[in-house]
Amino acid sequence: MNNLPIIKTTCPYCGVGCGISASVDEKNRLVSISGDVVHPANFGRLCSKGSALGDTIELKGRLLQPKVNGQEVEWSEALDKVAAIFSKTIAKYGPAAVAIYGSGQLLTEDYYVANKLMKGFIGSGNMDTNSRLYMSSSVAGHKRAFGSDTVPGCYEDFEHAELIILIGSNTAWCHPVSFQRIQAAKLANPALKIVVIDPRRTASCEIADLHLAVASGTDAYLFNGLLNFLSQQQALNQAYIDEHTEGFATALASSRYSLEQVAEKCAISVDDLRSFYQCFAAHEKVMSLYSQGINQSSSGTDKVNAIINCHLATGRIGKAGMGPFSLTGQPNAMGGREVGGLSHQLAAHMDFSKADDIDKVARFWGAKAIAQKPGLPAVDLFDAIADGKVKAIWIMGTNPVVSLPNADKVKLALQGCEFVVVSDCMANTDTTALAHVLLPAQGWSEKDGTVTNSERRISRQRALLSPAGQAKPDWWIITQVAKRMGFESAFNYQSSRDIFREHAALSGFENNEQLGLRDFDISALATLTEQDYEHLQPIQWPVNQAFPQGRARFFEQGQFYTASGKAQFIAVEPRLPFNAPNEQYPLKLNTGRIRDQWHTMTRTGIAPQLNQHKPEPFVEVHPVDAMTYDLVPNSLAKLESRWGSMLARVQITDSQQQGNVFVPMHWTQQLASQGRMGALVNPAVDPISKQPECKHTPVAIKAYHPAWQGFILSRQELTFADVEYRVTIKGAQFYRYELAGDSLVDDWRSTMSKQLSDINTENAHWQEYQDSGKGSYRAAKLLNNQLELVIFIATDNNLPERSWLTSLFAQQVLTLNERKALLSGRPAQGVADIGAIVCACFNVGEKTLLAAIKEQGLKTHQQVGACLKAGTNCGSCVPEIKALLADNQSIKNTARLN
Amino acid sequence: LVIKANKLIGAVLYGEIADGSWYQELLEKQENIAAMRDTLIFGKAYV
Repeated sequence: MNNLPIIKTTCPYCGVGCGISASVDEKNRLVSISGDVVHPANFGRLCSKGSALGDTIELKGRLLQPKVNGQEVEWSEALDKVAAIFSKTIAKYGPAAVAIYGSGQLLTEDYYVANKLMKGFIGSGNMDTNSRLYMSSSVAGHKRAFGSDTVPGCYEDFEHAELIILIGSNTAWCHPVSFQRIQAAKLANPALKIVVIDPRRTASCEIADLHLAVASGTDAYLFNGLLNFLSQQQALNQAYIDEHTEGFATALASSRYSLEQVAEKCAISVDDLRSFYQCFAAHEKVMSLYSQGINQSSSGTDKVNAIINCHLATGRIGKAGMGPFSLTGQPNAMGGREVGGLSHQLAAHMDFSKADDIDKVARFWGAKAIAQKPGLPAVDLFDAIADGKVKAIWIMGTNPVVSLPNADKVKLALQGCEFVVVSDCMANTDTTALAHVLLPAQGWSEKDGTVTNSERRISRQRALLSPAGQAKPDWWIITQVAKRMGFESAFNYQSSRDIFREHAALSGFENNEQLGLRDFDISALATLTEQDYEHLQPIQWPVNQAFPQGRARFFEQGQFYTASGKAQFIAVEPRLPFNAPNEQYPLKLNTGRIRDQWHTMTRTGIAPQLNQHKPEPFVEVHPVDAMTYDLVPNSLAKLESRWGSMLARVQITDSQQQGNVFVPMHWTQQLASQGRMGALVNPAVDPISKQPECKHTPVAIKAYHPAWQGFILSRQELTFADVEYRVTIKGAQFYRYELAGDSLVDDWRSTMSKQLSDINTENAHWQEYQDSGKGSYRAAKLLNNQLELVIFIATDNNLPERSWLTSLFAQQVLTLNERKALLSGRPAQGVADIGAIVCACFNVGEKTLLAAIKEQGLKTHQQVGACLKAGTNCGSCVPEIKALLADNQSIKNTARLN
Repeated sequence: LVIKANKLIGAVLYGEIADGSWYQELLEKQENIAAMRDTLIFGKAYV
């Protein structure tokens, strides 16, 4: 392995944007991953997901060839088809009848050309992205306050901070490397205070000095109250307010909440609230890190501004160790924002709100037909598809059938859509299943370009391996379609570098004091040579004449990108979530990520080690609610909302608040027949950012009592008719299927042999167990004494732990004891420990006897017989028992002597 | 094993007979075996 090339690249998961050093064995398609010790985002650290990347690059499950209506075709045919139908649809119904829905997984270069095609040349604003679901409230909040979508600080600030507030962010699981960095900062500086604001007691609370378990959706009350408190305590920075901001008086006027009022709204104690406010007031270097708990809300934009207001009022922005800081969800959510990937944006931090900007971009692109107004944001876009207004959609690298709210409606919308194109690296997702045309895109490890992380740092994502099958870069696919639609000259790129250079040039185009200054300016990178681009080091934008080496922080001296150059306070009137719980749907559903999975698991679900932490979709329920709704640990529950339903395994925990439940966002129909949380989630959106309220949906929960439950472990992947509850989990040497069904089966044996008829049974040995009175069935298949398959079915949930059985799949052969124990589902209790058999009648071993003699102080063989029955039948072992008693006595005496 | 109303009423053992006396005992005592029913057939070491 020593001679293998090391290639530096960037992790494709969360927005931390960790650098990776990959040792690449191209011949065997093996990649060994370690953290890049010099990358400023992680300095060598990686989380569980990033570390397992080498296990996600297999070719199995990849989309390898373009397909039209399910038939494999050549690229030219697929591209012709997409271009022809898009052109025809535009000609007949106008440009608003087509759309692109992209993803924070796209590289900046891919994003740039997709956006340019739709907004510049098709002339429709209908280019939106899944970043709408994660980031758009931050974008809108930044824009309102700063006049630009600028993240003011950087990761290095963690080490300078005196107080770090994690708001609506389970950083420990969702941005693990940033969390570790904060943890290390606290270790190095025990004076660093950590406050977590979250309705749930998450893993991030482990390092918290204070956890405010606020009522769901009440954050704006909390930060309005803080602004008021700071004003009352004279903790404001009046000079900064006067010099660099506008609107303070009205913002303060709308923040007049007493401590008691806020504590009541947030359902926390006045003491806790006061100590948080005092802590904020007392520390100059305060960072407010926020994530989806703030953004995914029907008042997300206001919440962002309520936080920013407090930083502006104290002038705590733009200096080391302070500022509001949005933790982005995806590896390139930021890059997407930079190119204008959201439907209200145009390009390079210009949007449709200024006619000048539209004119600038039109001239730069040579785009006469450029769109003049925003297109449809995600939720509206899929509504428009359902209504038949958008007739052709191109989805790139995302799985909206799983991730969008009201996801059953999204599924119906796509089923009814005239033309659905999906570019993806995976063959079978809930969304690819609905496509007319499938285009195989290169995945991470094959594609090549740039991404931008949460701290504005642009890093290269590099190709490690040659592409899988016929897979192509997204930018190539998009430009090929653009050329076929008649936009040849505007999309004539030879490489991702060509696109990057144009993107960099646009960022600097007419970007100055006279013609309008924009924050996003990487014009110094517009002339990179192929070699410069290849070796581009991670760098924080802007990268221009003023900041040739990048810039760590913005706004220390004000200089905001508003018309007046001053930051804007926003008067926030807090609003509770859009849909309130009611009698029918009394609980508040929260959704989110878990530690070891990424989005819809199309990649992390491939790595067996990542499927161990939380193998099934689950619902976290408070103990009192569990009692109310008659839920027992590890049983199944059905969750229902006005929009849909899902099944999940019950986990009872007081880390949930009473009245709140939490489900993970990751499971798809491919992996869990009824595990899609998107089906439940309400389609309420923020009126400004259009970001959906994924963190709050009223739901009902009830115990699900299937007729039977069970599981199958199989060395081979199985296909069988779906049942009411089915979860597929990939293990190291096996596939695990968790199952439950509503209809009773009389003859499991023939049902199973029909269902599993495709598995080779030649030379196989079967074990079977049946308890017809109880309805249980178990079977195991062995091939040359190696375990191939086990089936466990029961009419209750009394099934063995899966761990011992799964461990047997690692063995070449099973021992006799293991074979004997197999269908019991667990190793014999103490089989190895009973020692040599002394009493054959009652199967009592020497070790059992000795233990009983010692622990219970037995002195005679009659006492032993009363206790263990040994020696009470034929009596032939009594002498041996006596000998053991004597031995024990002498040991005791020796002990006394010593 | 023959079970009626969660009581062991009969057993036939062939080959592996080590648990014979244990089954005999359960049979004589007419103990309710509901709690160990799922592993009963595997012998005393599994209960």
